[in-house]
Amino acid sequence: MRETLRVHMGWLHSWVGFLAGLLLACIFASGTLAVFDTEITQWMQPEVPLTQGTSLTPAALQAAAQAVQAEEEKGLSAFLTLPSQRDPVLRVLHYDGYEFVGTALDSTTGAVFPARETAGGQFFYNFHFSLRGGNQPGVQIVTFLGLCLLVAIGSGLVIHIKALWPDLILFRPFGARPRAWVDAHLIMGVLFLPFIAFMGYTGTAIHARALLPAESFFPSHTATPHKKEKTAPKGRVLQAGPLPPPLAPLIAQARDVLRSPDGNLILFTPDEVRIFKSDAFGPFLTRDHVAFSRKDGHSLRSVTQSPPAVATMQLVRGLHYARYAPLPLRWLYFLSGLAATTLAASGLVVFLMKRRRSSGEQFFFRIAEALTMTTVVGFPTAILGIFWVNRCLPAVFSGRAMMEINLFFLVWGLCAAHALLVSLTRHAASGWRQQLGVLAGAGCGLPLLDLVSRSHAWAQGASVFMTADALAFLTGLIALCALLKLREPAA
Amino acid sequence: MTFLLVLALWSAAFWCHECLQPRTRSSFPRQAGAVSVNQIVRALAPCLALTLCLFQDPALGIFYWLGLGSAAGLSTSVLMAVLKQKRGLARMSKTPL
Repeated sequence: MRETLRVHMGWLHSWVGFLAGLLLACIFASGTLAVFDTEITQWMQPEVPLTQGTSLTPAALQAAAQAVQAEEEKGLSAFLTLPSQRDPVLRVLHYDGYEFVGTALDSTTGAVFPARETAGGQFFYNFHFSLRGGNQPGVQIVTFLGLCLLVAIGSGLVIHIKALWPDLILFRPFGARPRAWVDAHLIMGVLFLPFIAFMGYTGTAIHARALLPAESFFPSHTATPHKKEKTAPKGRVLQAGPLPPPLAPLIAQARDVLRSPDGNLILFTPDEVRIFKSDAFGPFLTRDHVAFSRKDGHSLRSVTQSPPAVATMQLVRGLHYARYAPLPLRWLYFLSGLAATTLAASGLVVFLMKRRRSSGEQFFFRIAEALTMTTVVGFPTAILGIFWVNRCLPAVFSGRAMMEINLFFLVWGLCAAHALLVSLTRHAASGWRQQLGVLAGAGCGLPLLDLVSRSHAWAQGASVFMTADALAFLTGLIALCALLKLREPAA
Repeated sequence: MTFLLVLALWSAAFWCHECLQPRTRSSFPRQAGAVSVNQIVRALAPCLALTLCLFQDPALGIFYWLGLGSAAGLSTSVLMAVLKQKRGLARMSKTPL
């Protein structure tokens, strides 16, 4: 009975894991990068100096308020993010349907930094939860994949439960190739199980309504149609409000109430100025705020309490988004994200290895191998591509952010086309090597490109640039090692 | 400094756990007394690590404990694999597929 259950669970784990894993690996990888979305944006906007403090002057706030009003006149719903320890820049942002983009201002003078247009780290954040496919079908697909992840984790646990304790840290990378891949899959799954299960659960719970909406999918015939109020689409405003009152005293008052010394978010409606508590202070992603009149600046209300159900969801969101996390904890999130990506990628490889002989490398196997190659090697290549494009395109270029994203998908698409071509012509092995070669070149060459482009002074925010370059170089080195390993005959 | 200590404690616990497994015991023979020491370290080191994490940061200590535990497990497993390779034991494993 028990063995039958294991066999059934093995089948479920293999197929759900493989089909969902093709996209889950990309979701994990982009989520891992999204942990450092702010830092990636800083790398991609080297013109913005990172040596400013978090102090603000009334002149800078006045310039920001004028910029907000100018955006509203264009029909955009702009908001402000105040300087914080993590991002010491005053930003005027708006939602473009996918990412929060906008200008960066000097927090002392209010002058606009001539920064290059980029989607930055926001692109990875958006890709992580919607595959850049919007609420429908993007978020729905990702949420469904989250459910698949939970099924794969459950079935994987049933399969491995007997060996879980004795093989807790068993890893044989020097053994036979299939053994090494299975061990890599197991060790990542077991050691990082709390993180992966937790992130899978919270990620699914956050967007559960995308799959299970509160209202019916189909309109009720008996319900009386009610008149809809005219509302602006997300990120847009129907009419611009007046110029807000001086913001400095409002911020001081709000910070006292919210106990949030920096990094606040300021939203504007035609009637109100709402100053929100920073997400960096505690794991609850609260929407605590103080609202002021936009006409004369008098305090309207403060929202600092949430009912228990709302607070629970705030905690779920807060722990998943990790905006509260100090730097060491963010690195642990990053490491765990890498482990989850490795888990998914190694699972895909194991699936193929297990079926290579038995399938006789028929058509569907070759398609599966092409898809795996596109995920395991093509996706990181496309990620590095976006970094390359950021440095290679001229800094002053209209539609630059969109160009970066289009080129990301172009590179990924080319990798997919190449993988399909080589797999269908039974040259998959050389296809793996070719794509790994490109990945190794892209990764190892990025620091050099960053150096040659002379886009920033190394004394300013050196840690951001050096860390990003070092990680890209490490990715290239890993790809190079894999390439050299593939040239050896299999053990 | 505390986090390095936590990492070391977790690594010690994982090392002792692996040393207690029959496959490793045959590869790395130990005296009878060492087994008890391994069992004690395996049980106490994670508890001590948790105490240190909570002492360092009561609100986020549990996350550090879990994260550092995973990282320590990974590094210990790689170290163990390298040591076994050096002793020529790596290719003794069966092919799983």
